[in-house]
Amino acid sequence: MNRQAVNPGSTNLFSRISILALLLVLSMVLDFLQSRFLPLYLNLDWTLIFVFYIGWSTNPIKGSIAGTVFGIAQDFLLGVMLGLNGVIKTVIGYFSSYLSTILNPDLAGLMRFLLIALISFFNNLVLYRSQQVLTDVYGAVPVLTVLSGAVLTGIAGDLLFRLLDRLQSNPKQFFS
Amino acid sequence: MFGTYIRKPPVVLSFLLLFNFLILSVQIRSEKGQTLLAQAGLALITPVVYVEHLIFDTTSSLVRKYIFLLAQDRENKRLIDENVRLKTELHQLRAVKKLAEREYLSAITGPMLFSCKPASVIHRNIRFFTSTLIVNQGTMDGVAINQPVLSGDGLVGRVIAANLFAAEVELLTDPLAAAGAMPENSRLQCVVRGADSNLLNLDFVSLSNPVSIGEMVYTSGTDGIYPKELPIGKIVSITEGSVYQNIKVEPAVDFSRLEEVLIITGEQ
Repeated sequence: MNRQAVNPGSTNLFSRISILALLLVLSMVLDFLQSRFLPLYLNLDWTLIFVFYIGWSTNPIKGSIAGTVFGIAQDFLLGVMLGLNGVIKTVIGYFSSYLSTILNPDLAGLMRFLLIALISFFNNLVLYRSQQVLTDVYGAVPVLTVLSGAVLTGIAGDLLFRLLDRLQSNPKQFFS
Repeated sequence: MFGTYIRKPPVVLSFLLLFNFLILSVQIRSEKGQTLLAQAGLALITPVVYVEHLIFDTTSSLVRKYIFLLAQDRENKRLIDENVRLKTELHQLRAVKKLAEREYLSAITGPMLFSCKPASVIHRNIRFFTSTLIVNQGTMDGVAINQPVLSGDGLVGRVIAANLFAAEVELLTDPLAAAGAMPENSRLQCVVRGADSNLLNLDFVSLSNPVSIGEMVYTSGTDGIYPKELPIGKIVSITEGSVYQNIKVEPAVDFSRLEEVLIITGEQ
């Protein structure tokens, strides 16, 4: 019997977990390829985009759990202290869900770009400062790298939102 | 009742943040080297970077070898010539060393020769808050923590984590990296430090000490990790600070193009 027929309107658990695992693998692969092929100042944060998307499309619990999982996976990949990205991505996943209820969920392209770029900017600043505090090594913040990374993440985020929205017409229903 | 309580978003958020802070708290790097978590991280990522290395580097290597055979042939001939020349130079150096030992100067010439392990870079992780490489030589090949890593152009960094098959190398440009250094002419003892950019900082050069743009900087050997006289880079900018000069050093090594490195596994 078709499971969709039993529970019309929602996707089955297996496919939801598969899609989440696929997003996790995709974000890791993109991060991996980026560190190999892109120069330092093109610091695109794919994990942030995916976490923001999941948080935006679901509820705070799922957003924060996705943030922890994706963030720790990113820490493993980057070789930085485990939990550094975990903390900030958890918070992003949590609050992006609330943001989607406050703001218009079908945000226009420019606004979506600005929102993701702003979050990416603060994400980079907090990451950088946390790393400095935890390792007790201080230096000037590479503002240009942080800014260029935020702008690029904003652009990539907007494009990815469009793509994922096209693939999944009702994300709220899909992840719920 | 408890079930509904733990399903509240703020409670879940608190649990997750606590979990992240807990794993963060056990990771402050010890004096001896890596933590258990860093070791586990490297162990997990090693197979992945090996696959990545296999896919990208081996494929491109195959293309280079079998499609551009003519160019490879010319390169081989050049390398064979260079090998012969280097072997001759090595023989000469060994003769000079023996002579120096006879003259009781081995204390000076001894540390100049090292046993090195060649390694291929299988993954680059150069971001704005971390700069590391993973190479395909591990403890099985004699690699250990804190061993210096070189390239043909100069100092690359040091090994910060190693497992049987791979090692993680902290580049000089990493914000946590530092090395004892000295400018070529003044021979002043100072410290070179990663600065989260393509340039390094040369610290503790007082205003009264003259250094010039273009001057080479070498390792001083005072840090107990890097041997003396390895090229680090050249001075590219000098500005006056309140007590010390703010000096930027351009690394001798182009870290973004590193493919092969040498790990100093011990003295010969």
